[in-house]
Amino acid sequence: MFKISVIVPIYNSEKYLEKCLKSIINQTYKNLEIICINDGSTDNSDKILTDFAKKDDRIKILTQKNKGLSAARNAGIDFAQGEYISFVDSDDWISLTLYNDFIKILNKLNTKVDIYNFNVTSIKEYPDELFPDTFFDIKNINNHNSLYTIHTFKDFKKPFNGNFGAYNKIYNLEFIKKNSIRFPVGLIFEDHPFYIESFIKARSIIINPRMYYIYFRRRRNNIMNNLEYKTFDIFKILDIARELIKSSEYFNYLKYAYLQHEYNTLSYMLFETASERQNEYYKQAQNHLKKTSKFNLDKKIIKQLANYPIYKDILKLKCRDFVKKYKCKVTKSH
Amino acid sequence: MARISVIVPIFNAENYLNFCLDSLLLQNFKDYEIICINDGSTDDTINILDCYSKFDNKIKIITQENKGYGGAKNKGLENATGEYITFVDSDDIVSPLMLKNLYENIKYTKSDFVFSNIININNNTMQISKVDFGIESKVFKETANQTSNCSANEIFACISGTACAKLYRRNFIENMKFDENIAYENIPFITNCFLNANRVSFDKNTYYVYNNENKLPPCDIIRMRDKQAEIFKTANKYDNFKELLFKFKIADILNSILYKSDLDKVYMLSVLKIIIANTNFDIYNRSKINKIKKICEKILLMNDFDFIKYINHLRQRGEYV
Repeated sequence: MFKISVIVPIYNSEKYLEKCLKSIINQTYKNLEIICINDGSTDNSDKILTDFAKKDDRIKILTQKNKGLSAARNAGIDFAQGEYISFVDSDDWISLTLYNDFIKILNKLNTKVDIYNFNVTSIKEYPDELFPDTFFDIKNINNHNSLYTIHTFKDFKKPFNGNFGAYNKIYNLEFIKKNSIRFPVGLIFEDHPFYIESFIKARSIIINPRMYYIYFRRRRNNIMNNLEYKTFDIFKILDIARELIKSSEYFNYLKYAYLQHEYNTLSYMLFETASERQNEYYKQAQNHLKKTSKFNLDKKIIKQLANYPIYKDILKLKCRDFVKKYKCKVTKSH
Repeated sequence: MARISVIVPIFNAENYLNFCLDSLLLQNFKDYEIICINDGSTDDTINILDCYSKFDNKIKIITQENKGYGGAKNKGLENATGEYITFVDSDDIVSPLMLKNLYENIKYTKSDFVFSNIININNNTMQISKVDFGIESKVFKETANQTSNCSANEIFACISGTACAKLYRRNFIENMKFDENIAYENIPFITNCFLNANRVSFDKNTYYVYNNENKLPPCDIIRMRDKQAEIFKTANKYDNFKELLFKFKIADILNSILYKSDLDKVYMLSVLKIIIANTNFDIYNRSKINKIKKICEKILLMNDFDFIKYINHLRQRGEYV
């Protein structure tokens, strides 16, 4: 019976931590190691953790000075002893049969797997939509024809359209360690390169389209504060991602989709940037895209790109005009 | 006393129960209880229920010997403390707005029950189809009376299918029970609701995702409407509704042919043939029945593929009810 290490980074999470932990300790699958990394919280989080640890000896508490989400997750990877690892953010909760259903699928297919990818219910704390966006997204999840079977990244029709989060996957720990896949410290959007590196290198990926992770869209206490000033991290992140793709065996297959992804991501982040820094961001984005264009693209692809006006415009228009033209379209499509 | 009691009858539901309960825990509503009746399950159901009740104390578990969904729902009714009642099947999912919206609707309209639209999904293939009743949000007075303002489509929506996707005032259904000896236990229940209601409200939003993987066997589909007719007769309302009930029976058969496997299709088509052949059309008002009679006769002459096209065409025109 496999042990699963559940990694929960915590920073000033007192409001929602109890519900999160309850959903982990009450999993129907019991063979868990629950690694809680207290990333220098200054609220009641540590008391909540010790209370839980008294009642359940699967809980292990790591305390560190505040170093950020990446460092906390990496600490969890280093500490983990299970065959598989799973990340749960302390603001959210998970369906109680998540791990049991995962093990059932592994047993049925009689195999190991590098990455098990499941779906997310993304919901507001006080919901006002009939059904969350992702609900009827079943066909879109990585655009697969057959579910619960083994794939590699090459089988994905839209490899960069999925959810980049670390929290909706279960990873084989040996696979992660052997490839030294880690979260980049000191940057936000840390899920981005972790996703790309792990999916490129995975020998086997299983997709379960069902929603096991309950993600709450609320003001997250830690990293996403002041996002509007931190969007500049995206350039370093995309640089890292670009190098990963260039050196991968899938480079020729992925480069068009990746380029599209860069354009989309950079446009989207423009609108998340504080307005007084948008000009500066825009110039950096243009420079970044000009570098990427030297990606050895063949003429056919360059022609295809020209069909999407956004790709032409971002290099040609002034920031103010681009914002005016694309404000509604970009924020909606994401 | 909770404002709403959600009753979930459960039998061997380990595959989908967690998704159902997750959606019930994500309601934008306070002060409700989720009464889970474990109807003698032999799989991992009881373990899942135990874990969920530890996770959230809105979930209450009652375990009993296997009695069927009728018996399970009755047990739920016995133990419900809410002012309003709703039923959710253990392999279905609901919108986070269901309780809030139906509650506000029933309070505002002062109805005996409120019902709403449904999305069908096959949990296995994940194929989605919407069961839009094709009617607008509305309040109906004295649904069982001839003077009521109900159209055929509206009546069809009210007395077809499921007891789910509805919110009932507890006092209104106080003395109603589910028949524990039939597989289509919802039909008599919702029929009685229809016959006794002073006021019924319809909310045209969709809050309920219904798993149509395990539909009723063909013989029950036919028996359902016959049973319904019996209930109308006992209530002395049959004469006013007999044409409609006949139409609904045919509609059920045609619907089931659309969704069933090929073997059952053939069976249902022959059932249709027999019904038409054996129906004494004289008891019906000719003008009300002619259309459906002609449709049936047309269908019996078609081949399989044309028939499906024809049905979909009729449905798009809101036709065959």
